[in-house]
Amino acid sequence: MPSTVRDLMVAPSPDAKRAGRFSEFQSWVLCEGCETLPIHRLLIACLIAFDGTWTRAQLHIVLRRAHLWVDLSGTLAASWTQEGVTQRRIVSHFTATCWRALTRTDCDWDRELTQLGIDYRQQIPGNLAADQIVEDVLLRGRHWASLVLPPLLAVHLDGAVVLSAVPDEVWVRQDGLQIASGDAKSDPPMPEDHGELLYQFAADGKSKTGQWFLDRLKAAFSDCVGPGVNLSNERARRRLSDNLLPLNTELAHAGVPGLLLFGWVQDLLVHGSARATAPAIQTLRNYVNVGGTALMGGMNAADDVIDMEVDAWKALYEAAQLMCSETQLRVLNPAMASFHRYLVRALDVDPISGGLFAGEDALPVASVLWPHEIENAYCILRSIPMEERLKAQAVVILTLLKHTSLRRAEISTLRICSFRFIGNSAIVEVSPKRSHRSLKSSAARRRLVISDAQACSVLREWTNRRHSEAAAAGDLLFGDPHRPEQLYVMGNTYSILMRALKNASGDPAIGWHTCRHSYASSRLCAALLDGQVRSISPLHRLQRAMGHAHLMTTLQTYCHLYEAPLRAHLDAAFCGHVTSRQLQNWTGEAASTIRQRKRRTGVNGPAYIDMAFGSQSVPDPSQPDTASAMGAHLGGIDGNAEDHLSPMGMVNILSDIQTGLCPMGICSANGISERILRRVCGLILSDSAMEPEALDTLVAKASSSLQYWSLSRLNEPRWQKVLSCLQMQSERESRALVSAWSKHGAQEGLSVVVPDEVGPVLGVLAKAGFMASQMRLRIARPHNAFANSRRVLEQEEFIRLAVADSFGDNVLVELLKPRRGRPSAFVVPLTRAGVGTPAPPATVDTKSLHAVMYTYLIFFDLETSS
Amino acid sequence: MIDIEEVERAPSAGTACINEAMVAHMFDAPSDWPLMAVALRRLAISCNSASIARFSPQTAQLHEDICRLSANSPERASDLELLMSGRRTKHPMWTRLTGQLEYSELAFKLLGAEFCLAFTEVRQVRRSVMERVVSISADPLARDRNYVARIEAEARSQCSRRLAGVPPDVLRVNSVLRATVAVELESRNPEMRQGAAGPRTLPEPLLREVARWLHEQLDATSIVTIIGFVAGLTWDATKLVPLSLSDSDGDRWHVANVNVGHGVFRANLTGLLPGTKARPGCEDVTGTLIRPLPQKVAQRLKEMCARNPSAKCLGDLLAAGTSNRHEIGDFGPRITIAKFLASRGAAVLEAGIRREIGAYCVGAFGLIADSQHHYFTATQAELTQGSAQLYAWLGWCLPVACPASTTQVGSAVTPTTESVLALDARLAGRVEAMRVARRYTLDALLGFHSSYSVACAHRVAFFTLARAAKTYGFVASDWRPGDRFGNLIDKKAGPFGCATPLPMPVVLSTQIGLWLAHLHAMDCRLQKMGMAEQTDARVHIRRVLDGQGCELFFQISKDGRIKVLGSSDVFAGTGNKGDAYRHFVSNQLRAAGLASEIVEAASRHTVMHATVFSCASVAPPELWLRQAAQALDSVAAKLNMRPIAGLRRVVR
Repeated sequence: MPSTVRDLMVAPSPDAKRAGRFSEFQSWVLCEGCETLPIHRLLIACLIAFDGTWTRAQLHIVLRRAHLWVDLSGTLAASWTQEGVTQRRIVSHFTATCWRALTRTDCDWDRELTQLGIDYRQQIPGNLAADQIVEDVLLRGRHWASLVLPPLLAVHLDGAVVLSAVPDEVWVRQDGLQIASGDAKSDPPMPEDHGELLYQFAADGKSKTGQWFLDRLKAAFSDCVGPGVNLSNERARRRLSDNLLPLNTELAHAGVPGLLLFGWVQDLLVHGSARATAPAIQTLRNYVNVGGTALMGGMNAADDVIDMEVDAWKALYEAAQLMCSETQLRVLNPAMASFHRYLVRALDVDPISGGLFAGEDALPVASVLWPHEIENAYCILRSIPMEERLKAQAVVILTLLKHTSLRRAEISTLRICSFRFIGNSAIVEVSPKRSHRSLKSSAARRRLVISDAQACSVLREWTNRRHSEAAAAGDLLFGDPHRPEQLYVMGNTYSILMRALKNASGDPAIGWHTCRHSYASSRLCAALLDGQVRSISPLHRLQRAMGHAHLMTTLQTYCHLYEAPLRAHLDAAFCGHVTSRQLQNWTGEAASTIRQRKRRTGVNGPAYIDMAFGSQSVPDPSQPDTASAMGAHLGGIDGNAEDHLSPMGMVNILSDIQTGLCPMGICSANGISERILRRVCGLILSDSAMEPEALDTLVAKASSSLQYWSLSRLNEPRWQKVLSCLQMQSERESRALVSAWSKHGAQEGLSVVVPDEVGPVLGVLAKAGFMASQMRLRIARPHNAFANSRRVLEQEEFIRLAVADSFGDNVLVELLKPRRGRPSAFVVPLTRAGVGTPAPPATVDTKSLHAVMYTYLIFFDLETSS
Repeated sequence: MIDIEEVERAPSAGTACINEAMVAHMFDAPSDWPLMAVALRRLAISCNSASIARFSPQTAQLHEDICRLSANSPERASDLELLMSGRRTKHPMWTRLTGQLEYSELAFKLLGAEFCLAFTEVRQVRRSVMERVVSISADPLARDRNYVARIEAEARSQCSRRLAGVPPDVLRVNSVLRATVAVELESRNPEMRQGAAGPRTLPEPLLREVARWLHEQLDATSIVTIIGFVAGLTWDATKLVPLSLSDSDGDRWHVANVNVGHGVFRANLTGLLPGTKARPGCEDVTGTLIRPLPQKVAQRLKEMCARNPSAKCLGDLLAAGTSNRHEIGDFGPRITIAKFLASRGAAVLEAGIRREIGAYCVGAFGLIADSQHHYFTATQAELTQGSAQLYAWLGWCLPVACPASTTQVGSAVTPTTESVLALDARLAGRVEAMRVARRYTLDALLGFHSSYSVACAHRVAFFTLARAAKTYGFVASDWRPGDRFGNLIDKKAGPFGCATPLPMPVVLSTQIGLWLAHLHAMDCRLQKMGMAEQTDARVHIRRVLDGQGCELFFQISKDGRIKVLGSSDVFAGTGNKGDAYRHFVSNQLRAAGLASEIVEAASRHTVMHATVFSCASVAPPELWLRQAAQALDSVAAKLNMRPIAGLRRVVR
């Protein structure tokens, strides 16, 4: 077995292709590598060898040896390693920890690599964010990770990992462990379908492979790519069309130079492999940077691309789907989605009309806990077997987290005398000592009122218990009964609570502090739904309760918008008459023109508005689908956070501010903040600094391009696409999936009760690119209490899910938060089971669609979807 | 019972006082009173130069106070330029008083006389006089001796006339009380205005619990605390409040006192409250506030005074050493009297009392903006009702009965309902009188148009709470029938530059519709009468009908020229100012039950920390605009103000 990284790179023989060799390598890493390898080499070896199947003990061996602390201890790690559903998370956690250790600044890479004779400084990209890479790739559960780290370069290659420590050495792992050495004097193999490796190398420009491919590219584009190239060169364009866009002659003949972009990416996507997206985007970005000026000049304006976009993408998508292999097809949608997102951000393309987004399995990032999730956390706490006092303490802290905005340090410093019970309410005096460092400002000294009777009874019970433990009034509320000045196992309580919150929400980003966000958001939601003018602003109350010196801290950082109040306010804002001046702002037409048209045609009311908008339309507030329309107007909100507002939604909000329609409170919470402005600005102007002129331009642009879409209208072009896609699906794939699901379900005795009417909705939305993030469904499982019982328990609950894909008349739904003993995915038929021949819906009934969505509370994350 | 009339007859100058706060107030100092020692030293020299000690015994006291303050005030900084850096424009009088300019003897004399005069008349030092002081110092020839002598003579006569009979010891007490109220009047404490319990106030359940406990205890500390809460004074100032056992003459000199016999707290804020100078055709108002105490408190206070006849002020009832940091009961280490007193603003709002009423009920003037004193008027009965509501919320018993009085408290520039209706009836009557018959001449037509335009402008100004303007800023494009809101920019003030939306009630929308219909008919008739199409009048009419950005209300002369209307055209000969309706309608809206914040928004006032245009407001504009429009409609119905039709009676 090799003893150094260099040995690891060069030692393996071709015999290592055998699958068994990989497990042999794993064993060596665990047994011998831990003892012999330096820490960083051990970590690298672990990253190669670790595939998520290591046991808790094995993990501990490695981590202890590497002097790494990770919270994989105790019952937490045990449950993680036991539960298949969270295996992905432990993998990502482990790898992330390893990479962080590798990339930390105090690691003595210099000495280590000097010994290896590597000038690694030349290889470190300027802006390397290892954490970001880990997050993007590893956290999304891709075991075949593409990693770029100094000084090592790892590239994922269609089922293989290439790990290059020096430019002339290459590791390849394929179908197990295959370690081979690259020959510095000969070009590496260049299979046609490994285009993404080439692009990666081309973008990288440091490996010989990359150089070789870059030369090939330059040769191919010698006539038309590069500084000073005349893009109107018909000959070059024709040559490009012939060479690079054979699949899309229609686009090529369109004669739009901008389509070169599409052609190039199409080439990548069609001939590329699973990791084609990132290199493709990177390459494209480089290309635009280098020859962008000339290219964009040739396109006359970016609007050309935008106008062409829908048709171009549609044709491209169809052609690519026809040509793609099964593997390629699976990655085509996310690849297209990524590229599309890039276009949206870089070229200011309307994200709504572009389409072709498929759901990525990104974890939710919302930093709020829903009420039902907190209830779930209570249930989890009660079900965990642990010491009774510890459990009671955890429940009290969770109660405080739910009903107050206490920080962690503030909870730790609470004393028994901090509580005063008056009737059915309790008053908590928060006055931490300065030595506790939790006093962020003088506003942190505050008195909180808990008016929930149940919470008060929990707290009263706990204080009584403390009194019965002979604690004095000045003792810590969560103090040790035997040592009054010390907290009682607060570390364990913290771990248990964190585990409960994470498990209850299924979101690893959720933690203790999230409860402050949740508290603020829920109170904001209540205030907005109330919507009355109050002498004491509920937001000022909230600010004081949060202990913030400034209201904007509360609004910008802590308050996330739920969907319901936003829709209610927008409904209120739009329920009146629309003046010609507002129409002028919205449509960009002169007010006199609008009035003239009104006078000439003699129409009034909604028809007048429709006419003023031309082909667009303002939703009629009296219609039941107004709320949906308004939600769509905002670009879609999944009910979580302002961060989930789509770019167009934010632009619309900005425009509403301009037209004076949007309530001030909402604007502040959402859009007025500089952060949001920066975000919008960054999307459109690619600049993080917001200049006043830029803002004016932005708002003017938003005002002129503002469109009011109802959900049905939004999806109108998509429906056609959906239908065509449905017809193109392979019946074979559909049948295979259904049979696999049936088998799995039969084994587990589990089923998901999906109402008939939900199936078509999910299917259609999946095809349209939406990702349902949350839904209320019934889950059935055998009754555990009775062996061999045929009783089935049905439980209705919210589940987080993603519509992964659709096949023919079925749609595959993946649960983002699967739990033990429950299916991780299920297939939903698009049509009613057993009724006639399954067929894709020819038309979509918008009203029934909305009815189903609201009945089953299907929320969509349009930010990630479109 | 208190004879309010007699109280009002007491000369306001008798309640004047002097201390650092009052000096800062009189010279409009910045909030941190920079260079106070310099100011006091100059004032001491001025008092000496003007020999104000010889004017009257009271001014001798004033002279002594100033000299004492000057001697005791330490110099806090030597860099004069730095201390006033960036504040010269905003505080010109203070800059002139404390500037590095060397004053001549004559200038000091003038300053002393003006200071004494201002003190006597309870007003601020005049800016023009301060400019004279500076110019006299710069002028070595000193040609203004006659002017100085005149001011000095005026000061001497005023002092001898207005301060006669004022007991000298009252001045010291008044000094503290009046300065406390003056500070409270200028307060913009966000915590009080927002009403949300902060670190210096008590949360709602605790506040009520503490109040209930105090009301049950009713010992000396509790009683003084409750009276301090009602009086709106600090703990130290409350202890100085004199006890008045009967309606004796001496009590009239006090700026504030507790009438033990009647169980009320009385405060004379005349001179401190702005806008209380009476005008013809306006409401009759007084600056004397009477706040009834809770019945139990009044009764207990009477008993304690009977047991302790030597007590002259509330502090005499207390045990020695009770400070505002005194903890209340066993509510915890941080529940102090000071926090309870500071919570009165929040208590008013939590109890659901209007801001203005609450501000006058418990002296929590931080709840409202300074400008509110120019607009708000309320009867004593309304204030008593507010007190009853507050006491009920706090768990206290009912307030003692107060005498009924028609005299109002607050702004003296609010026109009476009768004068408003008289003007409206006069304008409407003129329209009817000049209405043209079937056969008419051009003169008759233009005359009718003139009277109708004035009536329409009057109505629109009424419902939009318009300010006085040479020409009204109503623009045709901003005021169309059927609009949800209108826009009127007549004073670019506040962070929004006055460009906040205005409600559009039905009566206003209809009136504008009738005006446009009138203009359409007018255009036809002018054409029929042979007026050329290119004349200014007809071009303007067409622009208005097209909704272009031109003036909405105008008169037409014979030669076809137009004259845009202003507030002087509407209010000519009425004695009222052009912005009289802002004062009248805002009070009517309050009476209609509209929330204070919405009234402020409809008045285009920006009240910091309490405006519906702030990011803290969660109410959609649509909501409060609709509420304001409904309130305006109800006001119109109450006053029977129906839209007036012109040449055409159908809305176009």
